[in-house]
Amino acid sequence: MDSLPAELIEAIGQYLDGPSLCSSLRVCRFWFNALSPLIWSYISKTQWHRTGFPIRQVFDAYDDSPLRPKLLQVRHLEWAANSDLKDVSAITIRKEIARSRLVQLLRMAANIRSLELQMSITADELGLLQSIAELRHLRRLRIEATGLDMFAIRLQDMSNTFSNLETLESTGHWLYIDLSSWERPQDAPQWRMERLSVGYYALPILWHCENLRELEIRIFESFGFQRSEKRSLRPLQTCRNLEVLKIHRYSRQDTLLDLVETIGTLRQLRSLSFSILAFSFFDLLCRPGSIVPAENDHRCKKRQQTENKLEQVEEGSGYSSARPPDDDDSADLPLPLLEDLTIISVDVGDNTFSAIDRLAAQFFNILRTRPLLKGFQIQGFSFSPSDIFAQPGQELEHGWACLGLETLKLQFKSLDPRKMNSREKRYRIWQPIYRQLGQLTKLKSLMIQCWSLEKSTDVGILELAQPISSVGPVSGEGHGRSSRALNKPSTDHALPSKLKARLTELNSLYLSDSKGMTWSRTELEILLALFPKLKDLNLRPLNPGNGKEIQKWLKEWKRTDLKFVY
Amino acid sequence: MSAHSQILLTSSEGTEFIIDRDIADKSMLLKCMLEDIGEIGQAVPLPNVSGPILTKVIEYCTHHRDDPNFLSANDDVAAEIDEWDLEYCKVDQGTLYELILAANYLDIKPLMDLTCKTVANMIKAKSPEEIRKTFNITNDFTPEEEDQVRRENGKGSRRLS
Repeated sequence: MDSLPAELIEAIGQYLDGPSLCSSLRVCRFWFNALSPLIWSYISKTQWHRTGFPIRQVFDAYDDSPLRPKLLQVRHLEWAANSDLKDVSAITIRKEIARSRLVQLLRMAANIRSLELQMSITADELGLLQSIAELRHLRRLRIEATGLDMFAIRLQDMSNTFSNLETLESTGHWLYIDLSSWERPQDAPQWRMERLSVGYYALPILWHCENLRELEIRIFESFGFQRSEKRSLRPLQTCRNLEVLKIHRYSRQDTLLDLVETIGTLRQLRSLSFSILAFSFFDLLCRPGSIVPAENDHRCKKRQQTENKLEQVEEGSGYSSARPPDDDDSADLPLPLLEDLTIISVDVGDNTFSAIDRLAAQFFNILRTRPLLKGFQIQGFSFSPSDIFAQPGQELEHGWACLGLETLKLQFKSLDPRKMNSREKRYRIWQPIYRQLGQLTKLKSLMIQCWSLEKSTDVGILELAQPISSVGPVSGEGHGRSSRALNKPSTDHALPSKLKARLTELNSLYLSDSKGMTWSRTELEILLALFPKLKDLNLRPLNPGNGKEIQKWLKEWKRTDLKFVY
Repeated sequence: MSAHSQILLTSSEGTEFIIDRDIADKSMLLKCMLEDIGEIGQAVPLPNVSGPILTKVIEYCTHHRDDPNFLSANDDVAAEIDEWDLEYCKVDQGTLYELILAANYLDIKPLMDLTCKTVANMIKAKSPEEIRKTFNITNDFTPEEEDQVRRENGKGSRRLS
């Protein structure tokens, strides 16, 4: 039988009854792999263990085999019809099926806690929503609508269906609340909802979601709607306990103001992620009081003075600890608990210096005022690293407060090679970067993409290490260092013995250039010495042959534990 | 007289078969091909099908040539296999697999159904060990894996029955 390809074994499996199928799964690996799509646990167990509900069986009408999908689907539902579905806790349907059959199935599996549907929703689906409303134990609902049809639903019609849910994920555009519900209802009953992922047009659901912890909003304009229709992000004001907020593709200015007003009041927010099209949004979002504190506040000056003092203290003690959050300030800081910030696709639009300067100032403002930040990710193609790393002489104003960063992902446009024509210029650009990175001693994962990456010792990479013999920290050696470092001959050793690795926690490193890189043996040796705990190394793209070479060296150094990808 | 026109097929080893057009049309592969390119009078090569198997396939299509429900009858997967089909499938396992592959390749859905159903009947109501014996399969699960597969699917087997 092993001569039959897997898809034919699967085809045979469609003619098996339940017990025979289960026996067949236990025959051998090949059969197991071929037949397991027929009975397939879909939801990861860890996810469900967290909610304390053991998975008994997941029933799934899923198939991507080209062999008669229609038959498979009918077959599954027949099993369902002949089975006791009372113990089934989760159902996933990834095929178009008749509404009557679906309703029948849901009636039989009345105790499910999780339901996932992937189907094209074409017309009024109130009947379907009604039968979902009858599932009293349902806590998680995911509807992936493939059609483009939208139909206005009145919020009160959904109350039954949604009031017991803890998680609602709706992708596509089907969920669309009629305009009458966009005003805050009086005494809106509060639902259980904790996690919500919806399109913009379903936002009035938030009026009922005081307990919401995670929210994901997708905003696509001009999807059959008139701009004149008056909507806003005001429902977001209900969710005072929000901890995670993700916004995709934001651009509407009028509703934006609602967001700017609201976002600073989300005192519990830990994670904020937005992907946007235009810089103007970022500009607006960085208005004082929104995600950064007021710029001309007297406290800022005070903070700088405090930092001065701290700086002096630290000169003696090295870069050991993150700067403690200033109690006075954090009370007034918008988003005081923010730990994770992701900004994707910041496009300056006009590449004027003033625009880029303003952008850089916003970034420094964020990084300077976020002592608790653990994760920072930024993807933008209009600015270069110098806009986010403090230049020499400006460390005080532009130093980062978030020295406890554990994850850092940076994606920039590439540096102009014409500006990097001398070693001195390269040093001037790279040394501040390595110096700032060298202070992030808690860093576990680092990803840098799209630079003209410089990695030799004479561009300041040794800032990532600290000298053992000297008392002060590297940066504490002050001005005049650059000329000295420049004159220093580049060393052939992995790490000069008087230097000690500083980023000792880093275990994942991803470096990507816009052109092919070639790593020399010495450079790689230094890299490994700088990050003693490295487990994952991703370098791409490499010039032809270099990857093989690196693999050879790693073998030679007995670093086979290192997962190397290129 | 296109209904009685004839098609020339060549099996993998080069044996030539002449069949009527309406029999060739039972295979969706041949039907579409002939509709697309027309009857060119040359042999249609079937490099994936051996002579003996092609003989069996032609035997099946010839028997069912006037069957009005040829394409629709098999939506009912629980339907009994009729006597002639039952007799037709009494071949050794190797031949049966090759028939499945040929039916899949030539896209003859009823033959695919019949052969798959026949293999499924050989599996039905057997323990994994009995299935291995029937199909001469080596158990390549480690004891731990076997235990895990049993635990995860043992319960299901009772529920689905």
